[in-house]
Amino acid sequence: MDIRVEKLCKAYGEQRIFQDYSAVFPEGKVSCITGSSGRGKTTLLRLLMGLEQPDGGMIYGLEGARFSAVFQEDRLCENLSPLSNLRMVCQKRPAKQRLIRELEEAGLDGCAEKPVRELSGGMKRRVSILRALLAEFDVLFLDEPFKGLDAATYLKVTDYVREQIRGKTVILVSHDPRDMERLGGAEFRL
Amino acid sequence: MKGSIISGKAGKRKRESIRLWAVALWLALWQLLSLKIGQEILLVSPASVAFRLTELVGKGDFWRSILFSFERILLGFTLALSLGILFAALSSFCRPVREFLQPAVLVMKSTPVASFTILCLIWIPSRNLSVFISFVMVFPVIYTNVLEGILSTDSQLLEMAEIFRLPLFRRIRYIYLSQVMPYFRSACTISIGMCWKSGIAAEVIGMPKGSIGEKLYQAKIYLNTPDLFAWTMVIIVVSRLFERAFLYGMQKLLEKLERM
Repeated sequence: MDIRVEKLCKAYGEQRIFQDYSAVFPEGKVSCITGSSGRGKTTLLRLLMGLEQPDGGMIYGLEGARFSAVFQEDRLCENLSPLSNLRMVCQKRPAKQRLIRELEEAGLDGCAEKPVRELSGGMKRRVSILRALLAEFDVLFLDEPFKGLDAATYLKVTDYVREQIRGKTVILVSHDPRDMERLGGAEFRL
Repeated sequence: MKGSIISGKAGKRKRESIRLWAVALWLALWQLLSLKIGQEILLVSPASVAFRLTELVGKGDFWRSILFSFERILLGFTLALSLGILFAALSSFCRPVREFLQPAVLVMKSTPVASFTILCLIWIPSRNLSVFISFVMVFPVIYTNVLEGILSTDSQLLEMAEIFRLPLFRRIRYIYLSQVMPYFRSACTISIGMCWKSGIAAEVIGMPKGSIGEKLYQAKIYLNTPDLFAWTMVIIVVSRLFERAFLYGMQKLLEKLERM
């Protein structure tokens, strides 16, 4: 089912973020929300995820849907290992070797059991992306998912993500026009 | 497993271990001071204490006294631990519970052991006084620390848990446990020593028959300084052993939980 946003209104005090904003994000496709800073990209994502309530308007098509997300921040349990962070979101207990393979594919060899706080920013980002992809979901929300990755890792990770999200409903928020090019999909400019 | 719930920031820090040379130096100073004073009743020498300890160790009554006090203090500590965690969890999501407990916790924190002990002697048989006093001293520490740990849990992680629809058990195991653990660990470290000190103090005032407190009291009455020092040594050793064993057990339990 497509995600339909109708006449969405949202304001923080005097600052109006959305006034009667409407859009349709197609099912099984990547929708890339772009726009300059402060236009409400992350707010829209939070409204779609149900983390904030709109002042007016309706959102259809997300009832009962399972969500997964890569947030702007990594939001990992820093004292736990990448393995534990991945296990946390998996519905069925996955085999340790499978998770280690996934980590290796994302270029995270040899750090499966280290505490996340000992990883570099780019490594944490990759764990965060992997976590979102390993969870079972109907809609995937990506908020600036590739920030902090170096050029080579960026290409590798975007290739990996593109493969994993094929045919899935993805809402991507990004400043970087390359993200949309790499993942494909339609642009929604705010 | 490395990098677990257990090894928080505190776990990473190197433990301040006691150096043998420092202990030896303190013992030497003590011996010198005792020789200088020359009156065992004022300051007994470490050698006399060691000798007295070897005498005591051979007696059944010595071990019975330790067991008597240990059982009761352990019971008080366990009760405080369980109820402290339970009420902290309740208080974290139910504000009226927190508000209701606040005055009681404040009273427990501020009232001296002696006042509590004398008051409680009216209601509780002296045999079980140390259970209650240990509980009263430990409960506020555990409750306050665990509550603080829960309340300071990263709200972004809780949002993440909401999005991924993590069941309660997983939230507790992966998010709360890792966030609360450093608070809980430091609360335990503080309160284990505290429950021993307060429990024994209660026994000295209540004098239950066959307790370490009673032995200390008798040593005081008869000005038996070697006994006083020997029993004090016993309290320190048992308290430290209990602390180490408890923290080790807790670490192993958490490691197991994380591997589950």
